[in-house]
Amino acid sequence: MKYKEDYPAFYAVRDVGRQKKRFILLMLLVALCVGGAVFVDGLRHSAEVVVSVYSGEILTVGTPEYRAFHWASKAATIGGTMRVSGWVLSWFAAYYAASHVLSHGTQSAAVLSALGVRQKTILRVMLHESLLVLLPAVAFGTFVSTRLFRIWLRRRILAEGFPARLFQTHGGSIWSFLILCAGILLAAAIPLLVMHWKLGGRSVGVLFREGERE
Amino acid sequence: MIYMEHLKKAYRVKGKPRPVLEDVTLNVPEGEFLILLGKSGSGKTTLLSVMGLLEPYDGGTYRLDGTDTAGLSAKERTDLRREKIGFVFQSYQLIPTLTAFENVEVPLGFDGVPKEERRARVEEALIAVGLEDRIHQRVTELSGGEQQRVAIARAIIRQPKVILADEPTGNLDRVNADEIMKLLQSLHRTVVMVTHDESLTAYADEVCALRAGVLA
Repeated sequence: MKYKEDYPAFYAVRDVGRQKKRFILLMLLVALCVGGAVFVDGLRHSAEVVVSVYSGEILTVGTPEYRAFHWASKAATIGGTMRVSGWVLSWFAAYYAASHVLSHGTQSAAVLSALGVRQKTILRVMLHESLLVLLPAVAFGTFVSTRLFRIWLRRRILAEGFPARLFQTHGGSIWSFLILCAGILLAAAIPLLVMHWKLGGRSVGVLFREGERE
Repeated sequence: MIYMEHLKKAYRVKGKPRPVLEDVTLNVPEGEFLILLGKSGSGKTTLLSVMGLLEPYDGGTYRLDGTDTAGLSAKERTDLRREKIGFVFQSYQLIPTLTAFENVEVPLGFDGVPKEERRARVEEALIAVGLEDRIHQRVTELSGGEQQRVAIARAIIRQPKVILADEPTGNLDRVNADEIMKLLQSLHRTVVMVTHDESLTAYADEVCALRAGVLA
């Protein structure tokens, strides 16, 4: 007989492990960190284009091109530095969110184990639950941040009189985004891997004892 | 049904082995109700975890319904647990957002049992534990005794041969505790129950005491 484990196990973990308000807060935290990382990467990317256009040229002080180049040089430096900080913050936020999901899902996972659900199914379900929190947060943070960046940059260009044709407003580089996402996926997997390692061949079901002692 | 001989189990604490079960020899025939008495730290819950194939053991023999459990893979242990064993926990371990019906239904969902058959079996199990009027109520709306009945219904829904109960009356008052004990007695299955409450031993066919990892 083929056992269909994923569907009911998934909903069992979701239903026990989820506390709506806390989950929403976690998603907002991740969205905020990801949004910040995407924003500063957009700043860096847009500014670097302007810097590369005018590098090696002689610009007259006070002209729109000179002011744009000067501003872009500073923005590229700041954006480049803060991009890495944004990544690290996002990865920590993702790790924190995934750890929280794991800690809340552990007791239900222990029950599932006692009910005869296979270990790898339980771990897969818990990873799905972490991704359910993280992926919408990343998407939301990226979308909102990209929109805000466009609005902000256009206003800056208008206010300062920079040549608008030089500036790209689509956001950061795709490689930066992929690095950010890869780190988030790894951060989500780490708590599960740690738990699996700590169990050391024991079933997740032993964790129900620890829950009962608490 | 449950046969253990010179079973040993130790945990590693800061790199050093800490023995929990020193030498457990046990034979529980089919249909017997065994109570394992022991104080906190005696190893009784660890013994139950080993019996339930949740924890591996370090030495000795453990046969469950004729199957030697030594050398079984994690998947084989899980499958054996699914087929042979039902668990009852001290704090019920029900899914609070689901109804009594849905909680009992969960194991059958894992087994891919068709919907109509699931409905019939779940209703039968809940009637058997005296909850015919509570079938579609959320478990958080039930009393402690009723929740434990739901947990017992979930434990027996797959018709396991063995029920392992870890302090099932620990969170209940005297009246509810007696009712749960009578219910466990009425299951006519092999039941192994762990408790520190000596007053419950009257319900058992056999009583063993566990002290410092050794069965007396």
